[in-house]
Amino acid sequence: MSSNRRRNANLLPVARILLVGTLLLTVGGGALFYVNAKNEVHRNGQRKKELERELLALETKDEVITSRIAKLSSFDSLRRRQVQERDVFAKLVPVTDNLVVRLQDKVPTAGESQVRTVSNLQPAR
Amino acid sequence: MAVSSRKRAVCLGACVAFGFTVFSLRLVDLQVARADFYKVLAVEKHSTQQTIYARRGAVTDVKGVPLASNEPVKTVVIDASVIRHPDAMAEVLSRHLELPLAQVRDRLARQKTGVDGKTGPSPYIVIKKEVPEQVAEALREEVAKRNLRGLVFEQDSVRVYPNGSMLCHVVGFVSRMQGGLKGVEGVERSMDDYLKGHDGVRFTERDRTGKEMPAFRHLERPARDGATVKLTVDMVLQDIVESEMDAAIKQFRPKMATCILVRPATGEILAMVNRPHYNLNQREGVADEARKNRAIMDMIEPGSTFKVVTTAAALDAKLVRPDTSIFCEHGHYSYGGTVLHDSHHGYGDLTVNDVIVKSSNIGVAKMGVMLGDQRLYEYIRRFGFGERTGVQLPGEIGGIIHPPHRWSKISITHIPMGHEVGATPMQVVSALCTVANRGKLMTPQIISSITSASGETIATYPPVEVRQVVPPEVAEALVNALKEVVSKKGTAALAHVPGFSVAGKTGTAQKTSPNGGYEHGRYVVSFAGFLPAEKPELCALVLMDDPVPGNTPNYGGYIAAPVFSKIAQRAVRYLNLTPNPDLIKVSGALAQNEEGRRR
Repeated sequence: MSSNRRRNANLLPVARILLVGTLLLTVGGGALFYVNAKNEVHRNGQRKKELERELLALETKDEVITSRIAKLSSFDSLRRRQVQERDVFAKLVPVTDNLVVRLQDKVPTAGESQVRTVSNLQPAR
Repeated sequence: MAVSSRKRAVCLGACVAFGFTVFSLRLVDLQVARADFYKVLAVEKHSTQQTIYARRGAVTDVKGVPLASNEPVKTVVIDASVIRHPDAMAEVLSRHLELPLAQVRDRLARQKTGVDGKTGPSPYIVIKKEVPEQVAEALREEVAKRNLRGLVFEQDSVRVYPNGSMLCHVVGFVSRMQGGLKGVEGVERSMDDYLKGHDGVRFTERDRTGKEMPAFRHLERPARDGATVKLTVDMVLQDIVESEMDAAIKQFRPKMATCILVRPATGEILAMVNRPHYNLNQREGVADEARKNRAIMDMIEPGSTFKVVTTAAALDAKLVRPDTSIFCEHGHYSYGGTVLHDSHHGYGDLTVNDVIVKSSNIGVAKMGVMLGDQRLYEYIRRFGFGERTGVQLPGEIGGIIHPPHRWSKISITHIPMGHEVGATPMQVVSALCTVANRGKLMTPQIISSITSASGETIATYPPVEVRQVVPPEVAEALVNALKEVVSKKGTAALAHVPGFSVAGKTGTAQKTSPNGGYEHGRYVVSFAGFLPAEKPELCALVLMDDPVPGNTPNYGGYIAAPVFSKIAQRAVRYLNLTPNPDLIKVSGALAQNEEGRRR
């Protein structure tokens, strides 16, 4: 067959196109992934910052409450309330010696009841 | 003249090459030659160093009751450069922060000249400091609701003392100085290194708008919060002592008063009270006298409580025994050209025991003469007088004990009864603790332990024995004599505690005059005692300077001893010490006798 009659066809270099395509996709995909990862890092950073802020707010709240509890339950405050709010505050009766009951540790003898004896020892009056 | 295309191409190529060469040279200049300079500039522009502030540690009592802690507060700042409605903002700030409206308006109108010479609204105007959190929160909500811009809150904290004036001289306070809070007095000062903590640091980058980019944080060293300092003081006992001392002060109106409660076996200070005192949260205008921790900073002549030292020395030197008889000259003893008197009665022969029980000046002076200058001085020093006790509080003084070569002819008769001696109340109680502790001198302790912010124990303070001052047998003999002091034949019958054997010694020292000599009718009265005498759990000193006795005799046994008794009765109940039933009956009878005698 003469050369003029040879079929004039442009063959597509499929393999090369595939190779280039794959390379472009890989590079492009990689770049997109990189950008996405970078954004994710920023987002996480912002989230971290928000959490830090929340944690600080909670710690602050905790400190405020702890401080208020300490103030309200302090001896100084209770003593003041006892004087100022005499009518509403629990009336505190001083425990004098005649109001104290002392338990005596007594070794029970055989046959004796196991119930411990109680004596209210007071100064002779 | 036509130029060939080749020449034109060469010319163009040369221009491009020259251009690139210039750019390349500039690039080399920027990246290599001046790299360091620009690197620093870039770091300055984008990188910042943030300080992470450490929280100051707390101070607590032995049971963990907070005595000093931090309270978060806010500093309200305005960026006037972004404010749109200054009048509305001024009104809101004025209402919430309780500031005059005109003052807030003035501040908001403050101008600032920039580096470029332009004048504009100031971007940083401090409106108010130390604003409580709840006020700041309410302000934030209203500002957000009304959509006002330019309000910034800065986090800060203040030191608070929940118990106000209680234990003020021990806890102390802080002051804001360059570099943060610094302890000025008390434990806040002596333990400042542990309490202050260490600030942390963070290097981070900012974007072009100045916002931090947390993803690009480099080096970070977290802050190390201050440690918690736990004291040996028990606030329940402190409350008991304070309330009883206040009641006594109301009755006798002394110039000053001190009470120290110690556990003799360990030297732990369980309570410490000084009057006058002040509120740690309101320190403005407080007199220096009120800020003084007299228990360790004040020097007094201990008076008769000091007789314990002389007697212990004479017993240890084997010059006398408890039953040795000493002639007390019927109350008038001439020595060195002066006459020494006994303050109560004139006595004839008294045993060494009775010299203590009756508190005879002449008896103890004779023991001093028997000992001699040098030996007496050595024993005084062995009991810890003339040097700091070593308690972990700032400003402690050592007192004054002159060496024998500086003594006068009559010093040997005056020093044994507690005159010509400058001692702190802490030294006096420490000396009595030595007797209670069967001759062992312990270092007084006010710090129990130090715990880091993470809960790890950094330091503990075990009891420290300084020395065995006198042998246990000598101390035991002295305890027997001191027990009799708190009996109907002694000077401190009113110090009795029902159910417990109490040992102690009264002191009534005439006040020294600033012009020399002594002031007539003005005394420092005291009582130092411990209980149970057999195995002491508590040792206390009650001291009042220049009380107004009214109908009560101006003696330690009548003014200070009853206070000791009241404190000890409540303290033993709190500490759950078991009373001796036989002694309850004895004490009852003793109380009746004493009441009858006073009537």
